Amino acid sequence: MALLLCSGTMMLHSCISEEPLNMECDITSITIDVDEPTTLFYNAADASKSISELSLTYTQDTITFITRIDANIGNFPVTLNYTEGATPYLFTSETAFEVFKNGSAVDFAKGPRHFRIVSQDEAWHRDYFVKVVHRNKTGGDMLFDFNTYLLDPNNSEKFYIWPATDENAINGFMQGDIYWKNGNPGYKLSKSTAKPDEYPTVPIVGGGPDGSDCVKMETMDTGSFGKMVGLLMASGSMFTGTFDVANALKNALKATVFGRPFAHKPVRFSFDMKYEPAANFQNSKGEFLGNVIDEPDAYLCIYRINDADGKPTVINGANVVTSENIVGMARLPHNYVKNADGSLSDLPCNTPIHGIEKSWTHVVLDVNYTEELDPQTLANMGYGLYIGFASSWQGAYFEGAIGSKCWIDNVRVECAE
Amino acid sequence: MRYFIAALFAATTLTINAATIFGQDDDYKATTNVQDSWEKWGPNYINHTADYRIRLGYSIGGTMPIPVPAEIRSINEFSPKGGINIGFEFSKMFSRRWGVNAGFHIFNQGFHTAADVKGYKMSITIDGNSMSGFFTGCDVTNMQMSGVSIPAQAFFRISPRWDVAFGPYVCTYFKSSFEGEVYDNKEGVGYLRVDTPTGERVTIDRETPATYDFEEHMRSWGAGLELTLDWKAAHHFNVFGMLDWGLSNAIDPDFDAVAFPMFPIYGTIGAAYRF
Repeated sequence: MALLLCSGTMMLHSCISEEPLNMECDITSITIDVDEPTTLFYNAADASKSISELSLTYTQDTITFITRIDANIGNFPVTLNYTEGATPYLFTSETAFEVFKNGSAVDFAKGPRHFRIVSQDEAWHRDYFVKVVHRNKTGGDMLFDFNTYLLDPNNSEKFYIWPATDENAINGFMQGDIYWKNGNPGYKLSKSTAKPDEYPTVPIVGGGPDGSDCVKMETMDTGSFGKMVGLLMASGSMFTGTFDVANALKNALKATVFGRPFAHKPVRFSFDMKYEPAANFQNSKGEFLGNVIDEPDAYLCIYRINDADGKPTVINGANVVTSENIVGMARLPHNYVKNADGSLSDLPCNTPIHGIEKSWTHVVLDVNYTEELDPQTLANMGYGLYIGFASSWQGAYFEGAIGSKCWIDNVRVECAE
Repeated sequence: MRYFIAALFAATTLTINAATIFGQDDDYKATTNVQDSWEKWGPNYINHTADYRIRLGYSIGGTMPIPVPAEIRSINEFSPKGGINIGFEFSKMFSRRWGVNAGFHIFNQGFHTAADVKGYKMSITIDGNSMSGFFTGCDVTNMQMSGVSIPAQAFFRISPRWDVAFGPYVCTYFKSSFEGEVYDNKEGVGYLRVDTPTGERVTIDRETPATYDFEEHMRSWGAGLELTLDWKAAHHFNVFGMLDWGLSNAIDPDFDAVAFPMFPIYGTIGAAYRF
């Protein structure tokens, strides 16, 4: 018997063919390789974008480096890391391209440069457009009215995306990536049959308090696929940052990455909101907690771009309102429980204090600071900003009531002079 | 394929002396070796023109794509599941050496494997929602099939003590299960490129593995070829080796989640009582 088993296994091993060539062709990191990055960029980390640092995603095809306001943009050496065995090319004109050698200087003065990575098996390729642009000098006040949206052309027009239209947002806070983020790309993985209007975050035509369009976020069942990977529900969401689809099914808390550098001091955060909590609040295991009522969430946070050790701060779903690098916050009122160390933890309960009604409520929140912002750090883009909304405030932990709905419109950030 | 045949028969042919098979005198009357004589083991002109056998065996093998696709990089685990094979056969001799053999086998066979795959085209559909693409990582498969097969074989007496039978079989399955999960390999690599190798990259690891269950997409019948080798160990007692090589896809061909046709290939060794 042992002989037969052994023979069978050996037979299987002997049938293994030669390893197929790689089909993938991703840039996994790209660096503007200048000797002193901080002469060109506000933060040394801005000189590099990488998958591992979550400053680059696998689906991204436009890569934007933002330099200091006064930097001269010209020839910079570029270093790429890419899928093993692939070949990188740089287009020298619209149709001509040559093999790109790492460390070669690339002229970014005239706009985006077109790189192409061809897979090892030469059957696949990806095109990337890399640009180096100045940070612009803008004001800090911003209004997001969500009246402009489109079906995402990079996702087969399966769901909607919302670009910023406010001048200060486009040229300042959201320079390089003007789109709001949400969990829709993750929902697409679990419910491929969903129509654009069936996603957790959708536009509502004429649904706003002033008759204009608004955004509806709804906590939804993720279906059988979500169940398969133990993620039972998805909160509707809107936030500024990056949604890393790669981690959507693995570690959803880390899939939402928040924040961008911001040169102003926000003092007020206001928006219109209405909310309908659904019954049957459930925990991440799908167990109903009868004495808990779902709540919406809305927050604006200012944080230090680099932590005490000088490393880039990572804000994700796990520490979005608790990171020790947060220096200022405005958040919808909630109940909290005090921990032994004096910190506060969210307390889901049946007596919400957020005050949001089923009809439009205009909410004005002051930004509370735990420390004064340093003007020098502020001017050097040393602080970051993010804004987030959710139809289930514990949605990041897959807790909430399926069917809870939250509408938002006219989100406004006001900054100090 | 030749490796498998070689492997199966390695266990059962170790004791065969080549001269026993090929050097045997065709005339039983002239046989001098009483131990292996036609008189002792038959058939002779008086009886042994028909045989009934009850078989009890243990099956091992797998339901696999043939040839093994290059996307499968290594087999890290393999273990049989079930394995009981009970059969009844009748063989009728037309001459001393040639006859026919038919009967039925009730079987329960299966396996578990964990294989490292690279760029393995796969698709999972649940409740109408599908996720497909190219998976790199570890693919764990558990399959078990029970049913009854009906062989119809040509029967040849190689020598007084050695019989071989070969021919087609058809089978029907009482129950087939085919489930498993995909997650990261030992190097921590586990991901799906959605739709194409340039699509979204979705990390799948063992903390949140993607599971699949294709039971409802298994076919309820199959057909293939069966080769049986019997050695008469005692007057009523055979030791046998049997290879069932499925030629029909075990999975519904309309089901595109499994990129390759899967053929059940199982070897059985065991003992038979010969009436």
